[in-house]
Amino acid sequence: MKEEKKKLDPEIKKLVLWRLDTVPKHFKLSIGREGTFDKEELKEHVEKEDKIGLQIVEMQLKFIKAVSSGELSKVLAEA
Amino acid sequence: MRIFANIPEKIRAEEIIAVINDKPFTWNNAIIEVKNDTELGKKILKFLEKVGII
Amino acid sequence: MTKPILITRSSYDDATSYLFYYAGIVMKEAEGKGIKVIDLKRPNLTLGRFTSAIKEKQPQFIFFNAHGDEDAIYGDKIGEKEEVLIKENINHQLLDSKLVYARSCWAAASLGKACKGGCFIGYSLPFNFWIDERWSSKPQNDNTARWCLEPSNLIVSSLFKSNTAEEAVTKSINMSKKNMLKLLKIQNEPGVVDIIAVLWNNMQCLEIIGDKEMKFE
Repeated sequence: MKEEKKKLDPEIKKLVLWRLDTVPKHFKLSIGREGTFDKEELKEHVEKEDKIGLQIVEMQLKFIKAVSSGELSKVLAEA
Repeated sequence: MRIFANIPEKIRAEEIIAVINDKPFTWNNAIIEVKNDTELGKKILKFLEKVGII
Repeated sequence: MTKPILITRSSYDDATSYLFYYAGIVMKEAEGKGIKVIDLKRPNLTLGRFTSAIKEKQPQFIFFNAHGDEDAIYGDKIGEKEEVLIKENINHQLLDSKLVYARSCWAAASLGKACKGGCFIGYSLPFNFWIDERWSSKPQNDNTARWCLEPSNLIVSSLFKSNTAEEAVTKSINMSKKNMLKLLKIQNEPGVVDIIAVLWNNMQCLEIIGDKEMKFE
């Protein structure tokens, strides 16, 4: 699996933590072999900036950028 | 504004895209500050640029 | 006579138990169409059985429901350890000339690209999905997981209807888009944007490698 070594920008970290805080309590995210995590566990991984935490951050940022660039809307308009 | 116009309404209302002074802002809340040219609006824009959202 | 299909179904954690259930749905579809299915699940989901099934039965379509890495797809968990079924540069040639759909994380990143002569449908990043913990022991009742797993199943259903790999993936992507649009209409339901984000990410990393015109016949 990929190893992420860079330190997370504290503002990005804060943003992701706030976003994860809105996840419903009964939701769990399956992340392959890493396991299945509820929002508190996801937040813990982001706090620790471990491999799972950095994957979560990457996924969140990709989505935010797809939204802000208009790519998401463009794709949905084609549906 | 063009960015904002391209975002589905539900996402505008619910997605948190900035945290300033430990307060979260959705797209809708952020655009209000930015449109009113408040200090908060300026901080939000700076934040969005910094994290690469705009 | 149509060649058989091979489906691997591990079930030792939340993720694999969901994949086990969803793969079961397409397995019934296959059987309904008279397609012979080699269903490898515990205790038969072993490297030995997998290898001999491929060599002896020559399945034309292989559907993995398992965890994966960039260079490997796993089978069952034996004790504390997951057994590797396919590993790049060890036995990935078993998948050469086959139509493969790996519902596994990462496998399209490298393993899929190493396979020759066939078609490998898979994910170059983690394949994620949300589950509703209140239904985790009954995946069939979990409407949260359905949003992400039904588009994935559609790849296989479409292949059974003689769609090409490219057509099957396109249908799956279109279903993902339609699911996102449906989710955007739901009022007063938390978690909707989270599901959309995961659908988006899965769509973005879904790849077809090799012969996109390949079909199941």
